[in-house]
Amino acid sequence: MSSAAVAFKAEVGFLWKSPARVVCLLLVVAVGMVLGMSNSWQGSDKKLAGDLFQFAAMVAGLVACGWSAGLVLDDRSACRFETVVSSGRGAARYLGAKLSAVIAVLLLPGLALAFGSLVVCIVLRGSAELAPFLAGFAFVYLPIVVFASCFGACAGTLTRSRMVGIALFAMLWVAGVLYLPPEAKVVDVTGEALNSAFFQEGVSPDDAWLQDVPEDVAREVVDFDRASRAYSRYNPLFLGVGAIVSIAALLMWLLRRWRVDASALVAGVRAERFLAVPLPPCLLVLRAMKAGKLTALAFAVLLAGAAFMAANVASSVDARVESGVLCVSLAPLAFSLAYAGVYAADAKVGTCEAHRCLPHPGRPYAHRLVFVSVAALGTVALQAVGFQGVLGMDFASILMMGLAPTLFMGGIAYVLGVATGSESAAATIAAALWALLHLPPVAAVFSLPGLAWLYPFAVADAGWAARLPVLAVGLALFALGQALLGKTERPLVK
Amino acid sequence: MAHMLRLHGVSKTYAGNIRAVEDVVLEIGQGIFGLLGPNGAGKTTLIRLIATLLKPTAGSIEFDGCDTLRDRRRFRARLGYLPQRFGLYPNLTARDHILYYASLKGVKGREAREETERLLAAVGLSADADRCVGAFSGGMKQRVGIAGALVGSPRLLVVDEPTAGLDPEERIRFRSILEEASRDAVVILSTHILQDVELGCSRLAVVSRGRLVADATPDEFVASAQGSVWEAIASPQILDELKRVRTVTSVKELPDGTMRMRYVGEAAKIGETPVDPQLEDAYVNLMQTSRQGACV
Repeated sequence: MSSAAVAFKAEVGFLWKSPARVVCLLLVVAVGMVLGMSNSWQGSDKKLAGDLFQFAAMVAGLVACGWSAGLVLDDRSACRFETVVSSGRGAARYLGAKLSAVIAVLLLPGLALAFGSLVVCIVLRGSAELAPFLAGFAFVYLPIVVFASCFGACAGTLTRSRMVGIALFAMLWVAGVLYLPPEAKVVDVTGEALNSAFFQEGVSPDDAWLQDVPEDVAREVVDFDRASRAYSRYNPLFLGVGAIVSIAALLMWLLRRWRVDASALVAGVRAERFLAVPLPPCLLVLRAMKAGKLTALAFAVLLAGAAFMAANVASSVDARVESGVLCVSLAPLAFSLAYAGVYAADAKVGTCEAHRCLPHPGRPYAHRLVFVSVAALGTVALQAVGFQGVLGMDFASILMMGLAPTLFMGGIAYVLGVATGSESAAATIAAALWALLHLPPVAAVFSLPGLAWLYPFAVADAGWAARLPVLAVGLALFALGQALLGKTERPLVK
Repeated sequence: MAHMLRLHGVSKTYAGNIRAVEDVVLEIGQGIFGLLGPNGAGKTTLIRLIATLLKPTAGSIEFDGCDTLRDRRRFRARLGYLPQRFGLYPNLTARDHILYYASLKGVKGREAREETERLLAAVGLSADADRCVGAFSGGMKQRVGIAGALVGSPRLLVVDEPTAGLDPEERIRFRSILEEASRDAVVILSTHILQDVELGCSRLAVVSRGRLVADATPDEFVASAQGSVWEAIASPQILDELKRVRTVTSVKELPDGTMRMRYVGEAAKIGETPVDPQLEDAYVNLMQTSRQGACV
């Protein structure tokens, strides 16, 4: 094995032997296949390819940003920088190897999707061409993955927080999936703009599905589509310039530290400064799990959604409801990530052994649960106020609509964290479950009162009392997690 | 050619006017040089300054006549550095790691492979070369780290508390590796373990509150505590009183219930007799006197 190969293996080594990361790669292919094919199976190969890679890119972009946001920070926390910087290796080579490793790994599911879809089309439709699928890979999937990787690496490193890096990207991502003015297509990071610019045909007044709608609405739809497509053509420029600027900014930041002062790269410096800040004892238990950061992420995602919803006041009520409900459905996801780390973050650093010896081992975790739950309650209450103001809906119903699924998913994530002792595994399983509940066939089966609002575009037909059972299940799951604390040994010795 | 590291009035002040290192002047020649000091004294900052990870607020550092910061790239090629905490990739083997360090140092191809095998043998890891380091003990991981630092035959080897947490056998092995490396290089060993300095270092320095308070050979350093180390036999009550006013370095209970105690400082007039100091006594004595502004 050559030295270069070993260097590459060392850089990408963290990607392997990690079930959570393998699940992410499979999720990219699965989402692309399921959503892309269900959306455009009847259309041409070109239209199908565009949709396949748009949905795959939606997931791959988030994954790329999440991985790259921690590239530099992980090396700092693992104390690798002192060795790398003092070896004389350049910053550009270091960053190039790391980023290319992430991008190369994320290209694999894209290629699998291209060739897998080709085979499926040949088998089920009788014929298909490879060119449209490779074009979808090159013009939709690849730009999103490259941009997300560069943006994530830059945002995560410069803000010195992986979570802030992800939250910044998530804001752009949420903007991409919400109903927004056509100008927003310029800054789309979901692949929708690229898909519409290169692969989809425009809406025409002669389209069959427009014949049944009133003429003025049809005209509005056609005008909106035309404007969206016009702005979508600027999206590649935004992605290209954004990626270059991100890399340049990150490289300049790294070079300064490489050449002048590596304090910011040397683990411990910032942590020591942070730990020097006095905190009340009741909040000290939160440091290990970084609950503050995770809750900040949840707030960032939800507030961004709420802001876009408010900006849509002039839109039709249906569009506002869709935007708003999507915000509501993000709360369970965002907070399940926080709940996953309540216990598992301790298992990662090994402090749960010390907690196990306390007279009440569950007490530190109970404190954290209360903290995260208060943050969750505050967030959904904020949403409820927004909904009430914009849509004139009942406050109690909206509050429960957000709170019940949030605590339900949070309870699942907490129990998973306790049972597996792995924050990433618990968060990944919870996120996969959340995604599963949003798939139309699954949502139809589980559209029970109280749970239905997990599905983004479901109809609100249940009052606040109908959501109590789901809320009760969530609370019971937290109790189960607390009970498991005293009985689960494996995570303690992880 | 004998190698030489020179520090000319090196200071480092962090944001908030925190003076981590103040006006350090040192000349370090070939051999193992011990760097001692209490926690938070500035040892790691000093080492990071030497390794060009930090830029001094004042002063300069020269190695073999070249300014380390101005000629950073050339200097780093001759530097081997083992930080206090270094991250290994748990799923890479020991051999992969050494090859990786070789690639970082620009050692390539056949030369890298040969160097890797030589270093694996030198640190006693040939038999475990193809095991993932995630399954290694603390001592084995340290050996991977030192092998990585030795890649490219560095002329200046800086190791920051490498023997902390190692068992006695591993520490002996580690000292032996450093001794071999020091035959043709300057080796700086930062440590809390006085025995490592006593047994391996040809010279030592002590840092306290960012200042250099001692720069001597181990023998000179020990001699500086002559007349300040005492032994006495007294009752447990006297021991309790003595602990309040002096630093008691060892206590042993005798069969008749009295205590044999060894302490550092001025005589307490409890029937003590002067004894020959050891390195630990000298270190404790220096820490006491340095608080009053004295140096060795």
